[in-house]
Amino acid sequence: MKIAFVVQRYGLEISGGAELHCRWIAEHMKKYCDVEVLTTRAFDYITWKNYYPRGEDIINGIPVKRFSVKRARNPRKFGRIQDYILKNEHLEKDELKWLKEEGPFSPALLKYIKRHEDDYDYFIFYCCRYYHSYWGINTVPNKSILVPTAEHDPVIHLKIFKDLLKKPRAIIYLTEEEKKMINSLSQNQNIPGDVVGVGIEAPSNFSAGEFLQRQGIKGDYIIYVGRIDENKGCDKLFDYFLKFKREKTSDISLALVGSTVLKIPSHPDIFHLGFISEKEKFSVLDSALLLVMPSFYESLSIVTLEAWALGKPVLANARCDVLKGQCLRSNAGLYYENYEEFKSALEILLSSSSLRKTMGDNGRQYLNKNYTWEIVENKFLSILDRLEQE
Amino acid sequence: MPEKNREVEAFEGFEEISIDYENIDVADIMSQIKRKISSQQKSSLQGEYFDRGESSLYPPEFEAVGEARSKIINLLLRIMRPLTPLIKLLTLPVYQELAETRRNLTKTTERTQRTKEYTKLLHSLTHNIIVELTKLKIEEENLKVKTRIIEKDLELLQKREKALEEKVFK
Repeated sequence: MKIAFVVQRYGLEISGGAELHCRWIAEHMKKYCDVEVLTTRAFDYITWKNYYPRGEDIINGIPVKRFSVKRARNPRKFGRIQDYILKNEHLEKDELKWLKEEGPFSPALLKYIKRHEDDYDYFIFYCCRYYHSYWGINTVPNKSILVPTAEHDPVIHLKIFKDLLKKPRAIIYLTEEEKKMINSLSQNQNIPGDVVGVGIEAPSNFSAGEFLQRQGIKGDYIIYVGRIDENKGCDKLFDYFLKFKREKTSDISLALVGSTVLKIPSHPDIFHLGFISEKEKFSVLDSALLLVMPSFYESLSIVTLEAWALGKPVLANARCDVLKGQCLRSNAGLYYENYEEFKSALEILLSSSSLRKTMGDNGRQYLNKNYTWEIVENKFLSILDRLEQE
Repeated sequence: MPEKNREVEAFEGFEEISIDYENIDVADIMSQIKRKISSQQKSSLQGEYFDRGESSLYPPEFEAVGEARSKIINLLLRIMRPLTPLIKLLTLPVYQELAETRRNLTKTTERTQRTKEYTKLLHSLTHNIIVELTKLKIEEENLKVKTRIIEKDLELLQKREKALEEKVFK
């Protein structure tokens, strides 16, 4: 069996959630079938400008075919169109215009899929909101499997997506909440699919001591890992954390890991560690008391699963269905909707080490039950088996 | 659940939050937190009410008794509310009811009068503030003009100074 993963960007340097998920799944599925990746030359998800060389590449043993992006995205024009379609009555052609502007606009990739349809048994398309997935699924609907990675984003309610979500042969969801949302949105319960998620393996033998000393972090800290962005709720996190520090006499610090597009308040107890290696990330996560996830939109949150793999509890934004659902199912994290809840939940978690430990253990158990590679691979294979039998 | 499995944690500023460590239930913890926050907010609102000068009817040690009594009275009054006109008709002579209505009317008129006066006062205060702000604005403009003139004079003097220096040292 030969499978093509079709994704907007692909590379070891790319840390976006969907792209990472695609790479990990592709690398694990190569044990069972021939796997190829069809992607663009883009690196930057804002403009999709061509960055990687054209042609074939091999990444971790997987052949990767890169196709040029014909027109880079103009963020201002895109914003204007998106604003128009979200606020006004519009036609389907307006939505398609938006989709073209959303990109990555790579006709070469679609042409390749059309020409080589017979060379592959299945095409697994990543991210329903992008141009390649929409037109790719419309090109080869009978061989397409969709991994929507959909969030509670207003654009998911566009009509083109309601129709699109009924077309693939199967859908692979990342969480129960995503499945529920997509089913209610497009009434596509008849399409086979399963909640697969991702396998998490925490590396062992690491120590954060030296690294933390270098960064000047002393004492206990809570950690946020991800893009430091308003869209990820980081501005609210800063407000809440600083208010918490003002109101409570706590020595706790906040460590931030990831690239930033937001001004970080200068405070002696807020540390920005920047973009760090995987090993360093796991070591600082392991030394933290808990992970805080202020994001409103998450389709899976790999870092939350990584925290549970290390036995760390999570304090999550309750306005994100996925995070709240994961906390409730795992009993491994508390959540908040406003400052009062943030303060109380943080206070409870900080003041009781046994609660942190028990919740961390719950997280680990939840992970072992749902997010090991063996389980994920089996779920993938059973979907493929089912399609073969059909 | 046996009692030994239940650990009770007390947190500063909160009532007790009980957490069963053998069987952690996040939904239960969150509902306890929400309950605690809402009760805290309620009590802080009550605190504000009393801070505004509304004193309690009972000294602290009799607060609970007073509360229970007022609860019973309120309950009785609520039950009897539909019957109030009938009771009044049967118990109070008409002239007494008239007198009571008049008293109520006088009270309401007084209150309205007070509010009127207060509104007038606020109006004149706002008017005065606006007048003062206008004056200040004009004064500020004048001062700005004066500053500009002084700046110009200074520039001129500097130029003269330079010219004189040049003449003297040549």
